[in-house]
Amino acid sequence: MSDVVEQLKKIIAEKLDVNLTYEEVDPEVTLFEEGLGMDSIAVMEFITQIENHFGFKFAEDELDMELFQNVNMVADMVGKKLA
Amino acid sequence: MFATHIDQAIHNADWQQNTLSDGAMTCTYQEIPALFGVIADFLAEHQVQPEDCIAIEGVNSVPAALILLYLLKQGYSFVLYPPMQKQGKELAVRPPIPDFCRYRLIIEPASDNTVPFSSELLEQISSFESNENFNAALASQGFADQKLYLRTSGSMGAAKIVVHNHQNFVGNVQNCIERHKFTAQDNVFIPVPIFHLYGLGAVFLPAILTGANIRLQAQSNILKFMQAERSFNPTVIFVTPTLCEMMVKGLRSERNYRLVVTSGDRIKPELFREFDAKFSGLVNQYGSTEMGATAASEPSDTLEDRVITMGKPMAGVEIKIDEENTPQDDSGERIGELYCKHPYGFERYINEHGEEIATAPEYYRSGDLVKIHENGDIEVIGRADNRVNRNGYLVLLSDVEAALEKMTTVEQAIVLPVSGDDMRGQRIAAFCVSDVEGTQIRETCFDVLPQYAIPDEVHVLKTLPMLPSGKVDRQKLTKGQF
Repeated sequence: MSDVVEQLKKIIAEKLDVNLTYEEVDPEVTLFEEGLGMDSIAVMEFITQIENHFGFKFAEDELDMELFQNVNMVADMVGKKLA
Repeated sequence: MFATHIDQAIHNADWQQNTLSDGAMTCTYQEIPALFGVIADFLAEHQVQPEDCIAIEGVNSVPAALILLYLLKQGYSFVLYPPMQKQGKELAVRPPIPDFCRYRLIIEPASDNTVPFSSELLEQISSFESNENFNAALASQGFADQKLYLRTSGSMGAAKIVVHNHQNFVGNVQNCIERHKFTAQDNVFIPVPIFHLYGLGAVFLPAILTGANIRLQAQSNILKFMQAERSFNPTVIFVTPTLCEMMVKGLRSERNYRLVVTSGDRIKPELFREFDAKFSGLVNQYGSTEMGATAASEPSDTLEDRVITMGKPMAGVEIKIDEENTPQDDSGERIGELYCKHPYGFERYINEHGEEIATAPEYYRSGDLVKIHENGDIEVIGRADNRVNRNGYLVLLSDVEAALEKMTTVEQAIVLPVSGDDMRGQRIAAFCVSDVEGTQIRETCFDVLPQYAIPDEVHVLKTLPMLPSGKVDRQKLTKGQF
């Protein structure tokens, strides 16, 4: 589980144009404005990168604000999909 | 003007139960007259008089939409401002409002979704500021005589204020109703800003006047957009090319939309085809702050025509092209700058002090280089002013853009003149959305472009800066703000 969090942090720091280092990615804060500051394009890119990295596709109803609140929540969902 | 049209729409027995919603708040058409009463009291509380022009900024929300609608119905004059965009983490500084506005009214999203539509809610979400530069003498000079003011979103040069009157604006709205065939059976999804001519004139007002179900979406967040899309089940959506791309990536199953209208920058043919195959109904609309909606395709047009062109001019719009001194394209067809005579266009340009800059000419010069197809469809080739002289050759920057976008490594490209001359003449820079380095793109240019057309600089960006209109913000690129 924590391994997935680390991989997601790495994706954000290395693959996304959000100007954040690995250390700066706080898995507790929201992905959006008040937190990591991702805009719509960055979020869409994050989704695509996760899918490519882990080799699955999210279902449409998994692309949901509730499930994409923060890195920990996303890791939770990714973990379940990989299990 | 708007009073009759809006009154008819909100009292029509055929669609009394249809709704206007922003996700958090929903009202039926039947409820709108009572809500207008709340707005009237709110404006009276703030001493707003019919002769006061208001600078109004707002988000896509039910309260903000109803305030706009009420102002139009009562014949108020106002200057429309889309929501301020963030620059980094900070809000940009608001520019001063024009001297002929007595107030600035800013309508924010509601922070507490449980408060019903009431004067209490309106006080919570809005702020009224008096304009310290207000020039009362202007009030008697027709500035509040049923005008609609828009700051030009022109991506080059200084901002001007474009003056429309309500009467012509009604005509513009009716043209959009006719072309896009809005009906009360439609579910119209509006993620583009309604405090902007495109969102207001081409979709929000046409949808209201025809009694459609309307879902407004503040375009802050793609996940919210997709959730709203799933629950609302739209038949009609108005989008930008960027949003088209995100929908293709984000929506995992097919849709069968009646109509999807995109406007702003041209949409890449591959993306257009992919979108249309998956969701159907995609058309381009062409317009400007000065003319409003000028042309649009229809879903019944052939796919090829819809991909390449902006469709036919709106009712009553006459077009001509200035062929003089314009280069021929590869196929030898004549292309030229588009001029249009619009029955519902603007009146004039003014500055922030209310001084006239110019009156509207009979034929408005669009600045766009177009090709008119035999069937009357308008194909936009590029910007007419994007022509530079290099080494004695005329270079169409749109050609350079097209060559760059043909490269598999380049997703999107904008080419602009930048300051300075070199041996070749005017310097040009390419701004590309790409995963590879600028130097690599420039190297490939040597294989696909004549030497005089190779950009002096190639910058690689993750995304291009956009204006609220959905057009690329060329000014930002030129100024190096990316």
